[in-house]
Amino acid sequence: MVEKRVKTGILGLDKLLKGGLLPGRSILLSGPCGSGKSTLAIQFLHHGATKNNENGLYINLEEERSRIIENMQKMSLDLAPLEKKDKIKIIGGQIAGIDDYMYKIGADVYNIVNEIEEIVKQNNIKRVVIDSINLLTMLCRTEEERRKLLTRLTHKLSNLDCTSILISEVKENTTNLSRFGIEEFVVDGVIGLYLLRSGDRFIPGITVRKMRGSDHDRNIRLYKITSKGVEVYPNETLFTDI
Amino acid sequence: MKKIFIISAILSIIFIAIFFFFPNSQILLSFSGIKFLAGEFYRLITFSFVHVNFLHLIENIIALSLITLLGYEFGLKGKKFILYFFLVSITIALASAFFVPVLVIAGASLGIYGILGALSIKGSNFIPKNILIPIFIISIFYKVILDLFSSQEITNLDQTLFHLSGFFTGLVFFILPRFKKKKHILLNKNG
Repeated sequence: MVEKRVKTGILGLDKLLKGGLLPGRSILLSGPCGSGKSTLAIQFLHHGATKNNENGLYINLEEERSRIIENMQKMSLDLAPLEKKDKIKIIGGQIAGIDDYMYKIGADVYNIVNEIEEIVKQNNIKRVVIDSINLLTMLCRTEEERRKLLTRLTHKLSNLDCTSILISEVKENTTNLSRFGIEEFVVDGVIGLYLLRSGDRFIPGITVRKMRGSDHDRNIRLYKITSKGVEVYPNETLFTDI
Repeated sequence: MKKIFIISAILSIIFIAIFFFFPNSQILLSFSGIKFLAGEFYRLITFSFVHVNFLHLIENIIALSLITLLGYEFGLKGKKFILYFFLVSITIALASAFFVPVLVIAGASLGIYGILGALSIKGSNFIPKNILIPIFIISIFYKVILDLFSSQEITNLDQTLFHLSGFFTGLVFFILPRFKKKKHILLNKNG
């Protein structure tokens, strides 16, 4: 029997994942700034909406909605018509504003999780991207609360049969996969993006670090950010000058 | 100046004024179910301003001052402060009127502990609930604990249970509106 896979729409990455992601799983997409995390995640949503008839939800806790649409248009990822057709829902806003607003109305971070669940149900969403999970977990006061939030969020999305990408921002030249060091243990899979310095340039590398219940490529492979988005080269091993 | 401080100061001035310049206040203004059911409804409000002795007055003014500072720190608005104060006092007084009508109640402590109950949830943005609520409950039992250490006897238990009921009533009043409607944060802040 052929196992059902959720195609990311990035050909090379689907090959590394042996056909795509497992449905209903949460994936941590980790990488430093400028590594193409948001682009890759939006490609995943775009592909779902245009090729698989799967509605997507993109939550960005840093940028305004209009700016996100504008930026993606430059990458040939036109989100506006998809949003009009209710194929993709984009939610954007600055975290500081959200934090203040939550305090004003006496809400806590679990209200956000419930709200995400409500949006997913109402819009029949099957693909979710949270950009970034660091910012969402920053709303928690303690590590215990942070872990509880992540577990609750991933469970709810999984129960709703949603495949989700949680973006994790990490510092450059670090082997850490997340800011708080707990995110990678809660999720089902981890994809790492690296920018390895070689002389006067950065070589981008992508690897599947973990994928529960699925075989996957374990090497660091080359990828590029082009005007069409992220392209992964599944047969090219990353090399540095020797 | 923040409204919460003004409201607290006004309440303290009224407590002091009634204690010193209204010698019959305990008879005329305190609450009992019998008097209330006989038609003296004003007692539902006035009993909170009456204090039975000087120590009672001082204790409640100090408690009110501390609760005001805590309320300010936790971001409790002045109108909510006064709302919880009276809402809790009135609720407990009404309950006592029906269950123990002979009981006479006087003092601001029900309202004060009601505010404390509300703050135990409101303050969870700063201190986790599982720390804050037990600390507040212990503070309610301070007289019982002191008695146990000093005389190995439990006194003030009825008063403490009243305070505890005030605390939980305030806590419930704070939580109740949260169930009323779903809170939308992301959609309301969607840029």
